[in-house]
Amino acid sequence: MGYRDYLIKRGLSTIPMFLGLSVLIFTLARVIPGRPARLALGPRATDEAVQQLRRQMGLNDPIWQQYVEYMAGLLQGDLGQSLISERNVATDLVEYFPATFELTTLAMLIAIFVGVPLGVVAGQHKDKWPDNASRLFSFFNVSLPPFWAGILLQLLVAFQLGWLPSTGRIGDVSPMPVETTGVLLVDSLLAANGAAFVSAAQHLILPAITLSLAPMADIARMTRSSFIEEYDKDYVEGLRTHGIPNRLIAYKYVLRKSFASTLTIIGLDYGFLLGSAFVVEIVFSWPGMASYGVEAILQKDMNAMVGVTLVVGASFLLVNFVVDVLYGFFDPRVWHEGESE
Amino acid sequence: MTGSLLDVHDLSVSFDTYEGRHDVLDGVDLTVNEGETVALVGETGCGKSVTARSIMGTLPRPPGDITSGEIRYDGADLLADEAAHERVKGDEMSMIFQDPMTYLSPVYPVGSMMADVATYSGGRDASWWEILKNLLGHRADREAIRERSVELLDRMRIPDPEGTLDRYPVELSGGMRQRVIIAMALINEPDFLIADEPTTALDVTVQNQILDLLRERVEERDLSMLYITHNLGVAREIADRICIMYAGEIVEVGRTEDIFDAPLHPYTRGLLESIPKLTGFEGTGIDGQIPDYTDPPSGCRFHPRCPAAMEGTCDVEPVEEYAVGDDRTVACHLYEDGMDFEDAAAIAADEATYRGEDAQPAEAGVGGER
Repeated sequence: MGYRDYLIKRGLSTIPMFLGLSVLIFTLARVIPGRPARLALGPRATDEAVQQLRRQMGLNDPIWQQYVEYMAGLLQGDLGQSLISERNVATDLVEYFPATFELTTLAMLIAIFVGVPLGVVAGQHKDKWPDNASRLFSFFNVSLPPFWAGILLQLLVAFQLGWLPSTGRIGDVSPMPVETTGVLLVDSLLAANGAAFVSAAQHLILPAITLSLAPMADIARMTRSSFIEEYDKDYVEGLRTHGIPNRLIAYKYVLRKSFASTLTIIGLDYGFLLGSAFVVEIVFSWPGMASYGVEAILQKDMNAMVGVTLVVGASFLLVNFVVDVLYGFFDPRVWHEGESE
Repeated sequence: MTGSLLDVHDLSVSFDTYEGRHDVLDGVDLTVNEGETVALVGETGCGKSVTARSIMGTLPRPPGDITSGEIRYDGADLLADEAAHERVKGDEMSMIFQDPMTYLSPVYPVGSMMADVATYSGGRDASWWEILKNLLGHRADREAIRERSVELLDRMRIPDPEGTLDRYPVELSGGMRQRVIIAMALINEPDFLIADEPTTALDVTVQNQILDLLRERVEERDLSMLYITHNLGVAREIADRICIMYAGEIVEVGRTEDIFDAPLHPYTRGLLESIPKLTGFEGTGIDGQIPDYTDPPSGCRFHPRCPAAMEGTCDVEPVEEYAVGDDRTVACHLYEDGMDFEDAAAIAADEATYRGEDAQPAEAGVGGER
């Protein structure tokens, strides 16, 4: 089996996973108790009006039929009408998703680029002070609830020191960046709009740091333990015997091998981030998808609920596909036939 | 042979473990002359690899601790001068490892690892920038190193050396990997090679191929080699001299033919008699095991297992090395100064037997496992 075959196999396997996910989400959204049509129209609406809305939404059809119609719409980019915004859910998501994507991706990057070196340093100096310091730091990160850490950062950095803005996505800049991707950092770069880029970055830093703390700790912990395990291997001793510099051994050989297990954690954490972004989005008034999704759940806005969950699920599948791709890159034995060690 | 290249003198190494302090090496003396191959032979656990690691400077410390002794390479005191040790082990010494399955990084093609050994050995430091360039595959003398690697792999009779450089270890057989490891050890043109049981993990036919290749390379380049093995047959094939090691002490040193023709130390006799012969095996092997290093036997460390042990002497007095004849030392009370050598050898031959009652008289020297 070559690398390409491995990729195709992994890629194809995400399709049934997505279908399964969609069935599950769609069914769940419809079987949970609550009367969406009534909630949407309010207590004063007549029964006829409610019935008419139910018919319009197709709620009287059998669930499988509703599902088939929904999926047919999905293929054309139609996710159904939102009851709150009274727009197509797809339109809403296009507006909100890029903000969340920008936030979670940057948070993940921070978590990786700080967490991995932390883990390596800890692994290299097992049970010495750098290891203890790194573990203590990780311990703090895991224990801090994100809303609390977010508020602390706002108080300190935004209000006391006044270095960064505390809420929102971008300040008053003119011209505002033209929306092409919806990711402000990218948009402003594409438009070569320096002022907008700086403002967007300033607004992004605090929430991204807040969100990155928990996965950072996870990544550092995972990197540390797999690094320590790998550092004991014979080939590492072999390289040392040949007098290869420690730094090269650690960052080229040991890290590449041990990064495979860290990758798994990164994939899982990314899904977790999309979920926990909600709290951070509230604290920093970040106009993202998570707050939209929570609103949808509270209002029993079925189409919005399904839409948000599907997008989160699809991102999760996509990220894990990327993880698999990288996994094969970091450890070629994954796609090699035959022996494993 | 112009003089000694490696000189290990009175090397003692201890290990601290939860069970207490293990005095593993107890005053090891070892000399390898220029252009000479010396085999270090002993049972598993007798301290062969600890000796090799001390010489290569990869002894894990702690728990290991070199309590006394010196290691001189070409005059430089390696234990006292760490910088010299780093330089020597990168530029002049090299090592071949026991298990070809685990001594190659599984995640890089073998050529990448060879190139790093070629570029970085010698304890040089690597800057972050250099590491980044390395990770991205940029290398100044890439072509030259590749050429050299191909040539070495070709010398090791690896079919398709060019393609092999781009293969991962999982794609190679054990014998091929060991050839790669030997090629890697030779890439910096060392003067001195330590081979730590390089054929143990391979099956017998491959073992012989590797041994032949290794011997060719050593002769061609006039390398000095310390060959570590528990297999006397292998030692006989490759070595000019043999050092017999028991429980962290060198018990007998001699030219290969002398060791096989006339083993002096009772332990050496036991080892030779433990080799099965085509005419049938009548030996019983040497009773007992390597002693516990937390509390090694007093006197001679071999005395509890020695059939010729003298009560009151061997279990009390520490044993010294006695020079007998050219190039020959033996650490046994039988050969103490003042003893007549012929008498001592006769007593050893007589008493140090490991056979059943009605066995044939000892006929040493018919060794070898080929």
